[in-house]
Parts: sequence; C-alpha cells; structure tokens
Amino acid sequence: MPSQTVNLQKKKKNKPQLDGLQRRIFMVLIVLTALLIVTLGTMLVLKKTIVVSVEKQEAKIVELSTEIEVLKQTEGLYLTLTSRLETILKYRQKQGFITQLPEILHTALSPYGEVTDLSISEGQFQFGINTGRAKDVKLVLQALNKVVANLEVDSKIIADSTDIDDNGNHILKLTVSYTNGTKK
Amino acid sequence: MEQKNKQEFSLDDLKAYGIVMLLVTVIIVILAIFAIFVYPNAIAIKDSWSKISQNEEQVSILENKLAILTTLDQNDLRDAIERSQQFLPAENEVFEIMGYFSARAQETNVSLGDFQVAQSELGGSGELPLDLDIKGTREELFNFNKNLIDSGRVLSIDSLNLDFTSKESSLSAVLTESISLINVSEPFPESIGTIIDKLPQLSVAQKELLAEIQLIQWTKPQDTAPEFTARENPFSL
Repeated sequence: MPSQTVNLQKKKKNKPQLDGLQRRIFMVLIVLTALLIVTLGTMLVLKKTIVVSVEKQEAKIVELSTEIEVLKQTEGLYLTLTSRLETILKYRQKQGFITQLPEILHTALSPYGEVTDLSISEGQFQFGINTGRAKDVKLVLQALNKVVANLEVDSKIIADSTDIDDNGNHILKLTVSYTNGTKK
Repeated sequence: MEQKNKQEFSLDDLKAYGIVMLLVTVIIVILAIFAIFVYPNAIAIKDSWSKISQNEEQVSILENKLAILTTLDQNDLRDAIERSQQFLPAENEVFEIMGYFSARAQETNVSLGDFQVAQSELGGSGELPLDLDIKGTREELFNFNKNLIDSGRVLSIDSLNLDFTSKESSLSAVLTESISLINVSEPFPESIGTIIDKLPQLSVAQKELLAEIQLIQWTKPQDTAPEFTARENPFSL
C-alpha cells in the first residue's frame, strides 16, 4: 500500500512535464508543416517560372534555327571554305622549308666550297661540302651555324665528320636536325 | 480508492497512445507530401534548370552563327572556293597532277624523270603519295622548287635528295633531284553538321590566306559552279 501511494505521487508530478513535451512536439510539427507548405508553394511558382523561361528559350531557338536554315547554303559554303583554308595553312610551312633549303645552303656555303649532295627528310638533313683546305672546315662550320640560326624552324647541327679524298681535299659531312613548326 | 487510481491510469495511457498515433500519422502525412509533391518537383526544377543553361548556350551559338552568316555573300564564297581549287583540289586525279608537274617543269626548263604514284587507288580523297625525279642545272632545279612553292598547290614534301655526283661545280652541270611528296586534296563535305554546331571564326592567318587567294590571277572555268542545295550536302546536285 505505501508503494502505490508513491507511484501515484510520481504520476501526478510527471503529468505537467509530459504535456510540455507534447506541446513542443506539436509546435515542431506545425512549423514543419508550415515550412512544407511554403516550400511546396515556392517550388510550384519556381517551376512555373522556369517552364515559361524554357518555353521562351525554345521558341527563340526555333526562330533562330529557321533563320539559319534559310542560310544553310551560305553555311555550307562558309564551312567548306574555312576547312580548305585550314588545310592549306597546315601543309604550307613544311613545303616551303624543304624546297627552299637547297638554295639557302648553296647561297650561304658556296664561298667555302661546293655542296656535294643533299638529303632532306623528316626531322633532319644531311649534306657534304668539299672545303678543299683543312683550315676552311672551321669557316664552313661557322657559316653553317649562321644558316641554322637563321632558318625559320628550330634546328641544330648534330653530327659532323671530315674525310680527305685522293686529291687531299677535305670533305665535310654534316647532319642537322630540325623540328617542324615555326621557331619560338 | 484503489479502483479509481487504476481507472485514471488507464485513461492516461489511452490519451498517450492517442497522441503517439496522431504524431505518427502527421509524420507519415508529411513524408507522403514530401515524396509525392516536393521530391518530383525538385527533380523537375533541377532538370529545367540544366535545360535553361543548355538552351542559353544554344541560343548564344545560334545568334553568333546568324551574325556571321548574315554578313556573308554566297557569290563571294563560291568564288573563293573555286579559286582555292587550284591550291587544294577536291579530287586526287593523277592525270591532273601529272599535268601540273609537267607544266611546272616546262616553265623552269627541267626535265621530268620517273613519276610514281605510291597508291593504287586513284581519285581517292585525302593524301596521295608521289615520287618525282627531275633533272636540270642547279639554277633550274632551284627555280623549279621555287615555282612549286609559289604556285601554292598544297603538296606536303616529305623528303628531297639532290644528287651532285657529277662533281661539277658550275651551274650548268646537270643534277638530279628526287622528291617524295604527298598531293593533298579535300573533297567537298557530305554534310554540314547539325544546326547547333558552332561556326568557326576566320583566324588572322586564314584571313590573310583568303586575301591572297582572292588576289591571284585566275580564269574562271567554263563549267557551271556546283549547285548548293540540301542541308546534308551543300554540293549535291
């Protein structure tokens, strides 16, 4: 019997605390519901605005596409021309360098000796030059260094060797590497 | 007294259960509203938002395209394309290429030796590898080379060999030059792409080249220019 009395007293004490908790829970639920309604409303308005905006953009795309469609022949011609110009530019530089090199070398080196043969391939060119006397070899190398420095492409002498023929003439063999593309 | 206490206890329990049930129902309703209305709308807004940015880009491309196209004249473009044919033909015709080298050789007095086409498929598009032997004096060969560049035709020269085996130092000595090259052609496009493809702007180098093409001496061929129709192929008849 005394234990029952204690329980009842506890219940009486707990009751107001539970009511407070319930109130808080209800408040939270009301706030959540309000937020949900506001979010939903905003969302619907935003959606409608975006849909209208997308429709306007699509209408503009259709309008522009129609105008461009009328000019499709011009577009085809323009694309053909730009593509052709690009291709021509792509091939031009290499073409110029290889075909001009024999004359460039001849002009620069003829005072020191005759170029005996010349071979130009992808990335490097080789040639021989009959310099006659040994002391002219240095002059030829100096002249070649100037040529290499003035070429439109990046290049450098990568090998040289000297042979002496039956008549005692010094024949200098040179190899120069170059990279495609204009000098930086 | 004891019975009254028991009754009070049962009523409180019932009230508590009722509140819990109500809470659970409200939470379920909130979740249901979220799942049915909020989530699909959020997804729809997200999709529409990305569509807006895609459309903005498309509109910008189309406006830019229209701005370029409205400034162009079809006759000028046709003229430039026809002129560019002598720099970059639309077809790789071997007989036409032989004629081209023969004309360059005549102009510079060199004699053409072996002429080899390294590809059996004639008239194909793109690159056609060729080997060419030329004989002449040093000066004539240099002139031939210069002529080859100045005439502007797109030839990718891969290698060049000058044979000086005659050991003659004079300009009159006959020398042999071998050139390995690729004759480049570019066929007319089969399609001009979709309407929303970007239109390239001419670069400075391209503008300079175009000016050069328009300045060259050129006799308009008698044949009528290709008729430009259908979006799929602007050169189809």
